[in-house]
Amino acid sequence: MSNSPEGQNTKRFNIYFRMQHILMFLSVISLVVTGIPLWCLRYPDSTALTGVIDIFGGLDSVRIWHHWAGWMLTFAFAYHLLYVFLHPEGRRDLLLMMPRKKDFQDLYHNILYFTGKRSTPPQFGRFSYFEKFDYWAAFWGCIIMIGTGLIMMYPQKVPELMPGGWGTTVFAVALEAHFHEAILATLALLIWHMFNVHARPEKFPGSLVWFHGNVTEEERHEEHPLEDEELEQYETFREM
Amino acid sequence: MIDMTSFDFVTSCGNCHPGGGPLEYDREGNRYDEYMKKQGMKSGGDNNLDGDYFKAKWIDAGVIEADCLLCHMPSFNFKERNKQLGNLNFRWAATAGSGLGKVDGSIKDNKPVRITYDTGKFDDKGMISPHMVREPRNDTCLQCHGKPGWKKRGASFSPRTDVHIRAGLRCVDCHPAGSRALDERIKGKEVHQIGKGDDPGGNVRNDLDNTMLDCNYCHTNGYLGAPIAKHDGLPPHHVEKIACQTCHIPFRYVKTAQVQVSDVFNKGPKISPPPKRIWTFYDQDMNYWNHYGELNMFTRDDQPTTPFQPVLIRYKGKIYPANRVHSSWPGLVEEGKPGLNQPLMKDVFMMWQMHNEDASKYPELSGIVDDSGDGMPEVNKPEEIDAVISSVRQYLTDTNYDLTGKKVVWVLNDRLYYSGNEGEKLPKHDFEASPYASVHKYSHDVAPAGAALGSKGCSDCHSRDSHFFFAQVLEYPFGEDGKPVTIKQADLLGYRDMPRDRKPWTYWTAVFFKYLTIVVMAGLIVHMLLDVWKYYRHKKGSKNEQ
Repeated sequence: MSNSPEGQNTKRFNIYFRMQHILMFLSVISLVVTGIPLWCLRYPDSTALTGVIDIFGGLDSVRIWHHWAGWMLTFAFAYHLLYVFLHPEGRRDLLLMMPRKKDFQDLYHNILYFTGKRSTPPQFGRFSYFEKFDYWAAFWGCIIMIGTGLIMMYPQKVPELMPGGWGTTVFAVALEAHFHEAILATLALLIWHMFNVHARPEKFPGSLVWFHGNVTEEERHEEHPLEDEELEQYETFREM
Repeated sequence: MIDMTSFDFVTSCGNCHPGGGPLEYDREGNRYDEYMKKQGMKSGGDNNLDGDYFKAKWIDAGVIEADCLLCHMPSFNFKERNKQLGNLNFRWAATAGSGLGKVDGSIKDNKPVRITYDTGKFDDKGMISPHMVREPRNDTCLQCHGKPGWKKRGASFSPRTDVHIRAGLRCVDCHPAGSRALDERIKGKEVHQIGKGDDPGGNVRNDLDNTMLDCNYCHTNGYLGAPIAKHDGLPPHHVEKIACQTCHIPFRYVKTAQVQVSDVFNKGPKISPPPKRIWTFYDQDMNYWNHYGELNMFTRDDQPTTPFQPVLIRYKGKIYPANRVHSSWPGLVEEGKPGLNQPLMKDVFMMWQMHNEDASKYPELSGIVDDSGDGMPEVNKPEEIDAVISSVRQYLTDTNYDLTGKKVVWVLNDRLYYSGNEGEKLPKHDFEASPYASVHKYSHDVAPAGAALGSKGCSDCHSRDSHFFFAQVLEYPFGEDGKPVTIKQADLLGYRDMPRDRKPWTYWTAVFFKYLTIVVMAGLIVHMLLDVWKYYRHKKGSKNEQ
């Protein structure tokens, strides 16, 4: 990959990674769409919002679709965990995805660059700090949403697994966390992720790297100039 | 003025009160007849205007002792017993009711009382072996509980309307007593405290509230073949915050009196005796209901079916279906005394009776008219309130009622009116419509599980038109236009948003996620804006260079 000549395509994401991403965005979009009427239950006496439930043909059908989308997300997340622990490229990417001191330095550097106090942008490795943020936000989001979602799906099981008297509290906290994290995840995806991969002036209207996994060497050197160096370090580390 | 005396109480209320207690002993614990003799009181005399002995004939009539046969002898004849109470033959009422003898004569009519025992019921030794049951039958309970269960509780106690009666359960299965009781407060051989529920409108033996078997008991262990309640997928706060009855009594099939006013004259047919015309009833849909007229036409078995969805109240932390009775009535504020008094209903009735016969008497009553268009006049406008107050005051004055230190007022639910334009609000519980009217939870006439709220899905309640949140429930029976004043059910239940625990854990979870969202999104948006700013700044710079 690192030896591809300039102008040629190089594989940034393998098929497993792309499959995970496709599963992830299909499930998350479905979850957001079907989650809106469920979210509206928070305001049952608001006729404006409960009307959304009717659009979906009733609360029960929305809930069933939401549950299936949730299972798809669970599958995608489980698939991803297996990938990052079992597949060599997965293990490598997980390690390279770990936050480092340089990420914070890059953020500081980038802000100076944005504000005109530095003339050049920071140089990123295989994953920039905002890509790492995206990844770990999604990772955290999956844990919260899948965990709290399961508690909400099996409310009768919760008290059985909890010390006496904690069932209701755990359920109520799960409900609250699911409700709020859903907002955060949706906003982050719609505003931040969509901006970075589609709406950014340099990116608009977005690349198909999520589909074919390829980037050109020029793109790679421009956006991830330190990737080769990082990969070499990883290989050295792995062979030690 | 003496209202109902203890002696009067026996003749009217004794029809259901089985004996013992206030039917046998005065408030000092003396047996009436013996105490009268001992004190040398005169039968039927004023007897120092003592409410226990005023005009009482305890010496002649006897007292009503606790009557075991009344509940434990299935063939007990209540009609015959109550006939003897009406004749003031108190001490012989049990003999007549049990059929052990025939009672002739009447203390009331000064005719000597004579008993002819049915010798066929006695053996050679003078002993009897009646057919007795350990546990009273449903019909026995309903002799007394049937009518009040109908009037303001909308209960039919029939297989047609109640899944438990249909399944063959008996009253005593859920309301056990003695050795069959489970609650330690009433458990014990021959302990005669019957397991009871908890009626918000009743304050009799509140210390024994919830001594009966609750839904949970049978439906978690299958007692008497009860199906085990699963409630799969139902978030647990539903069963913690909502009483079983709320979902399992989605409808009442027999109408109840939601409003009982006692300030106008009810001209409905077949109301007897006439003084009952001072009460006018409206059902759950605010339609006029000639309850007493219907009682004279129907027995409990012939109750007309008039389905309605119950009002929901929050009582002791749970949501229940209930009838929060609304009322309007003339009252008396007495200087230095808490609460409100009430003129005798017979006086208010007489006032109207005299006015109806001669409109020049208490003429202001003619100003009370029907604004709602249902054919029944209602007091709802300032001038009508003034008319009631001044007419009642005038009637009481005319009949030499001592009004010193007393003020005639008119009360509508929790509003106390000194005049049509002056009044105050009375404190009350949230679940009450009025601090002076009853609130009855609905517990009987339970629907099958398949008909319960939620059996067709969450949208039974969580939908735009659901009764649970959006029903309009009565707040005041009459507004200025005579029409009912309503509020949204969700408002009555105190919902501002979804029901949920406001416990610290939940609160801090919400705080954490809210601030996390604000901080993260603010950071991301600032980053994005700086990125875009940089792009256009560079672009502009490049153009300038060109």
